[in-house]
Amino acid sequence: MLKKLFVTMALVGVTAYSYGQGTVNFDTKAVNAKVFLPTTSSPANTPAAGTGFWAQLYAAAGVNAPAETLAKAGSPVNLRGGGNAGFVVISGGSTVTVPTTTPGGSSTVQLRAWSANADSYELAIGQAGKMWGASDTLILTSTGNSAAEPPTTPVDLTGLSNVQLLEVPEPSTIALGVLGAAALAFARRRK
Amino acid sequence: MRTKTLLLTAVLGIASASAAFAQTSVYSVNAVGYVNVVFPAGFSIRANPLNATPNNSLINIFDSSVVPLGTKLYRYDTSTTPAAFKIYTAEEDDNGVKGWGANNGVELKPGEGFFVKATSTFTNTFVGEVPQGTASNQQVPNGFSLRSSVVPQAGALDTVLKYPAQLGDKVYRLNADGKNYTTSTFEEDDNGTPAWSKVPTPAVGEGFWVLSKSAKPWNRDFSVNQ
Repeated sequence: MLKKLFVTMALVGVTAYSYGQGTVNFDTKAVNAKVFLPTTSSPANTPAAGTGFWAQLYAAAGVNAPAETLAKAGSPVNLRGGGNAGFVVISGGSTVTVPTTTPGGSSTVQLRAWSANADSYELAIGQAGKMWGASDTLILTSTGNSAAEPPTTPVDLTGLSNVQLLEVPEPSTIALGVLGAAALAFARRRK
Repeated sequence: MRTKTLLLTAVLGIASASAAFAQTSVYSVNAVGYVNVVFPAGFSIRANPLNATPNNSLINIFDSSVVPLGTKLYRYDTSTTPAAFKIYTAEEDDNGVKGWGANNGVELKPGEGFFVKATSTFTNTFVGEVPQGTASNQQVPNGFSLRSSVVPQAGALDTVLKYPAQLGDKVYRLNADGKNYTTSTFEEDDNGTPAWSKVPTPAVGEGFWVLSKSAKPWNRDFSVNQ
């Protein structure tokens, strides 16, 4: 029993030792990565803008961490509007802490965005009338190290890809579409 | 940072008028004063806010009696390739005299930032002259450097300290925890106007990282009469 406890404690210790934290500069304008509305939107390639959308970093320690293992890092922020539509620019300072293998070490990050009518990215996925999307995962071989002597600065998200939002139309929209198609088919038949 | 600035005297040095220049007196205005700068335990980024006499050597700008032994000063030397930190330690010499050992003569001029890792909190009183005219100007190198305002002023980096930002420039201020930074990027705002994402407002005697897109002058041509 005692042996089991020691083994468990040792494992916990190793786990704690194996992980650290790093810092990144969560400013997607600095790396020109935008969030775009669904491809069905008109005109095409319209950036998602303003308080109708949230964006958040997700991250996990190490390189090539699978997307499904990434966890929330920092807080969700609204996308900007005007000339900065589609970008994340945080006016209160843009440093975000992410998990890493060692302090200032590697991390896999992803930008996820969703429409503000859902409380979170997870609650937006696949839901009618809501939008969601994610960038490709980005590997950061090093991050800012707050434990270094002296502390090093946060790293940019260089190489971050754009986010293309997806959506499932509302049932009423689908129904209207079906009705319209049926009406067209009926009209053709009568001719 | 609790910084108290007091310009003690504005000395009007009146040049002696010779017979030939009896009607054209020449005035030289020197503002001499002191600044108290707090160095918290752990890491901080600080700067020498005044031009000391006879020079800005470590032994002149720091009061050795208040600097805790073992305190380290990290200077980011951009003159080497790659740029690297040089580290100086507050210590006693063979005769038990406090100072910076073999580095007593290293100069830190106003405008240059540096890290200090203090073994305990202390307050240093910097004494000297307010840099004016061309002495208030500095060159910002391309890439990373540790900088501060040459002029001992606190305030917004753009409107008060007149930093010549260009799109893509970044400023990193070390937080009070001595570990994490607040990042500011100079980029177009929602209206297309170039602006800081968060305007840096350094205090007197505070240094910060600058990541500049190019080498450029940061000219103040400051005068105490402004």
